[in-house]
Amino acid sequence: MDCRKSKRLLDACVAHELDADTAASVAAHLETCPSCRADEASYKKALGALHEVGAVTLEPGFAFYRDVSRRLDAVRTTASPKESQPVRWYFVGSVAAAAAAVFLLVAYVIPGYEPPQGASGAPGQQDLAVAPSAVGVAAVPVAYGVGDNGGQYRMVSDRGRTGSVGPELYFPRYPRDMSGLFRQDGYVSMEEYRKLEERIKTLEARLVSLEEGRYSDVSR
Amino acid sequence: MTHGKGPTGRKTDDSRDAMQRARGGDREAFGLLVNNYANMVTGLALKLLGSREEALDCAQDAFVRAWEKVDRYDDKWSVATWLRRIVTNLALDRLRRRKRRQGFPDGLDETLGDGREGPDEAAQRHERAGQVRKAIAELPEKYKIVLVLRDMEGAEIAEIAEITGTNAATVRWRLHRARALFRDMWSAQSDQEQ
Repeated sequence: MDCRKSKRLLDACVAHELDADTAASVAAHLETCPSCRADEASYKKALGALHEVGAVTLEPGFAFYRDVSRRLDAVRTTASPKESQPVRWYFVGSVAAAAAAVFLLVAYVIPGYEPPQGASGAPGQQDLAVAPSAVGVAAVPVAYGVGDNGGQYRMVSDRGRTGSVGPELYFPRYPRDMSGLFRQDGYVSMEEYRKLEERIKTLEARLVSLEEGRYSDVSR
Repeated sequence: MTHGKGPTGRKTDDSRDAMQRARGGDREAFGLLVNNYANMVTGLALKLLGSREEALDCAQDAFVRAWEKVDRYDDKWSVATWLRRIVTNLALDRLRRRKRRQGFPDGLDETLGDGREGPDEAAQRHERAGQVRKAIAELPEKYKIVLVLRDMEGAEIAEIAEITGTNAATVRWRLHRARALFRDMWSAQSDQEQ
């Protein structure tokens, strides 16, 4: 190895970045070359000075952490749920409560229908959020909405998203049950109501038999 | 010389896990990353900028930027590499702005340490580190970055290539030039002292 090549490799040699054979060649050259040895010594001093500069240590209670935290809380992040698992959607409330929502939909929203005794005031036609005791499902936080197109049902995902779906998705296995609940003139007599109530109970029993996760097919 | 002074394997695993959660919007998980990497990020900023106050500001900016753009994290690289890239870019921005406004700042601080060493020892180290940073500050930007990342932070060549947006051969060449320039400056400084 000559001086020119040696000088090109000296810094890497001092930093232990050369492979064994090349390092041995440089070392052999240094044995015979005072000029390159002097260069090696100067590199050792310089790189040693760089390594001497200590690492920074911020004390745990340092204001830096508090300041960073405050600023982080204030910024808008691009973080978004990157689901490795499919989103699971649920009724807002329990399955039984969802069946109760169907009941309430029939009981309150159909024009001309007289609500059963004990029920509180009828909710409005849009964006209902009710938990009355009309069917004995008291204080269950059922949220559902009634849209112009015949019904939109609020759902919530296991990642906190909310959404709404129509009855064809909300009750994917029971489309006929839903369509049969309504009359063209929108009027339901007490007799019809009792029949509907029976159907509701049947529907509720079938719904309860499903696990909430079964509704994941309405996601996305 | 010991390279790879970065996070240990365990810490890396923990950080990757925290990063995954942070990418899902978990602010608390990102807080763990701040705790894990505050020293590294601030230290790198200090070495590039040479000023305590600027380094702390830059480190804060780096974490805020990281949180803002957390979805851009590429898990091909370690969290440390990603943060180093962010803080390096922010420090370069500051250096360029500073270059337009003024020169190298006075009042260099050595470390942000806890003061456990004796006053004489601390003063010596303080002075020496100040000299090192002053010499580094004289280097052209592209050489400064590779020298700090490799010889002070222990980053791998491939990591530096990723941070600087170049390739390994370019990094090696710049590193060789940077070391030679720094050695010349350091030798000249030592000669002046004697």
